[in-house]
Amino acid sequence: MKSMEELNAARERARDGMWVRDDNFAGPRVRVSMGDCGIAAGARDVLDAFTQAIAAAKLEAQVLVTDCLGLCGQEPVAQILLPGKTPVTYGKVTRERAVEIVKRHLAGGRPVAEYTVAVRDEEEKA
Amino acid sequence: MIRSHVLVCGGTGCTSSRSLALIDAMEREVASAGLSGEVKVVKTGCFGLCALGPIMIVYPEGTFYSMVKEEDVPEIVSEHLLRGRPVTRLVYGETLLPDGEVASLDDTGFYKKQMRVALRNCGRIDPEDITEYIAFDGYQALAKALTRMTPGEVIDVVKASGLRGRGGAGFPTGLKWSFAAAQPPGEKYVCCNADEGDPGAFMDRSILEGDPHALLEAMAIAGYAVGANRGYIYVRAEYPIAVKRLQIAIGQARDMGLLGEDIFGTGFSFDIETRLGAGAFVCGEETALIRSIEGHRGEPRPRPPFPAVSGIFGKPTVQNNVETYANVPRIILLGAEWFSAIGTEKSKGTKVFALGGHITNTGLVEVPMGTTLREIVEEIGGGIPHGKKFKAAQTGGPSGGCIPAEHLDIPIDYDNLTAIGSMMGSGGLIVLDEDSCMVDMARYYLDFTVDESCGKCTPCRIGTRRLLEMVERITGGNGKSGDIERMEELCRYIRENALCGLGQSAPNPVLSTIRYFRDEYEAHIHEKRCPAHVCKSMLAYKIIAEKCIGCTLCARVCPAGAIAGELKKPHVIDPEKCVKCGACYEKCRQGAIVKE
Repeated sequence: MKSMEELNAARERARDGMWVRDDNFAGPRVRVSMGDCGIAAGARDVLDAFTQAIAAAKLEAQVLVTDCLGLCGQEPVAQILLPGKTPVTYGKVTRERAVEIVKRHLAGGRPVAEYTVAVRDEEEKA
Repeated sequence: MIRSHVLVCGGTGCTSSRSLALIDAMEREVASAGLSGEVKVVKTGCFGLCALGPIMIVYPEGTFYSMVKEEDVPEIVSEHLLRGRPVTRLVYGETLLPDGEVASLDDTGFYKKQMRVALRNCGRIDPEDITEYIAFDGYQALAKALTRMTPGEVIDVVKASGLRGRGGAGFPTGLKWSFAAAQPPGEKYVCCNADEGDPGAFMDRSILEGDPHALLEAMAIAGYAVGANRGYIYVRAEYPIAVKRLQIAIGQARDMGLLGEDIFGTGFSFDIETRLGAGAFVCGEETALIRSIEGHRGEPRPRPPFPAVSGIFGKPTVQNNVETYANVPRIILLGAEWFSAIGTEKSKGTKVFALGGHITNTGLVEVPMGTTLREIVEEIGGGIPHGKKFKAAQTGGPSGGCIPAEHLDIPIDYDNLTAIGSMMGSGGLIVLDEDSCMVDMARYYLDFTVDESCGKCTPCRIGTRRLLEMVERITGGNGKSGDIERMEELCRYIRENALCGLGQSAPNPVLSTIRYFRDEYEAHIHEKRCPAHVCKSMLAYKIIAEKCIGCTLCARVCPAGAIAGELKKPHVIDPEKCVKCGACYEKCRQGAIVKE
């Protein structure tokens, strides 16, 4: 180690992935529902899609798995939690949609309205 | 992508509860569940809540699992790691909120008032992986010191911080370093006292096992500050895990050029060797330690000259405790004002305590100086188990004194404790409840110091032995009138004339128990009675006939055949045959056996 710069570079490399362990993490998070209903609907592949997309985009995000949220009819279900914003719940998530959600919402900061959970009528989806 | 870290404690406490087998089981189960690419299992150092080990923390949720067994692993993997359903029966009770949510560890009684500075990385990083240390600002302080500060500036910062030696004596660290720096340039040494001989103390062990690089970095900083290029870590051989982790850490630091020649390209070179102790408490005394490193039998010598002027091989040596060093990198990085804002006026920073004895939350705690003993015992420690009353807290191990209930609200710092006849010591804090005999406790510690006396000076070699004989006569039921006064006189003589700290402080447990529990001594001597029912010579076990149902359980478990009685008729203990082992007392379910 011949300079402060080298140490700082080593620190950057070492920090890769360490945000998973951060008690005070304040970055974006994805929560994938992995209850029995979710798994039956294909949530495992959706979880993989999210982790792969996040890794490919080199994003500092946490991925959590959670029990069934109660929206069994909408499975696979995933939520995006951005700091300071209300969680946004996505329903009938597919591999392709997960990739888009990561790009437009997780990284881009704007919810993908057409994939969010339908609460009442089809027309109310803005 | 790794989305989850499972941290498992690999400190000595949890290791003896088979945490290493737990880690293996976890890795196997993660692999067979196809989660190896998503879950990383990490062996860390001590989290502090030793009473509830093995400890496992699952991130990113931060779920704190306690008393985890190998059999629990499949459930943790399939329920928590795969499906996000924490295994609630294993979650540390205090973090489980009524609505099923999991509270932060920082809100629990045990952690709320703690402030982890010396222990900041323990439980957070893998001590056998230098990159994890670096990720959390490791070696930044050394880089800052070597590339942006002069040796004099480093010493000024340590002085201004107010850091005092954590080994027990509390000598100002910056001042000690300045003495060594003031010596003419030449061969000088940095030394770490990692002997930790106090029974019941494991603060240094946890730092060595959980964050060894903090020590290496601090010693290199000290070397730069005083002009030394070589360091020794004197670690007791009874800490094999600590020795192994230190050696791994030194190897990794050397490989990365953080120890060795021309560190950070500044021309400063520093390297460290370990030296193992071999079971001598006296070798925790700084001059005896130096003698031991030099290859001689560990024996202290008079001071002056102090080690900072003439130490190892007669060269100027900085000698500090593990915990003292563990604070240095943070002080250099965050500044003297940050450190001196913590604690009391004359005792800055935090102190690590090894909480043991009759306390619910046995383990390792770190609190700002000035925290009261009551907060440590009742809040952090979770109080005395089984509804018993607090009697005293023993600080400073065999060199320290007891603190009775009347001083529970004392803010803990170096000077306050000395004023009431105790001392901070290295951090061992043993809590005693109403069933403890204070005379017996003094005897226990004195027995230890007598055994460990090196024999070089008469006051300690002979004085402590005579003192122990007096205390043993008293606990043996043969105390004589005037014994207390004779012991006090002998204690004063030993304290004033012994060559080193071992002898000088050996009388402390006796003196402080006489000061606060004189009535117990008097009961032993004049009434031949042990109020706490501990001293066997003055103890009698008796069966209360009205409560005895004649179940014969006690008679069957008695090793001396001292209990007689027919089935369903009251039994009787023969005091002539009774060896007072207490087996019958433990066995009786009717509460019919009492201690008198």
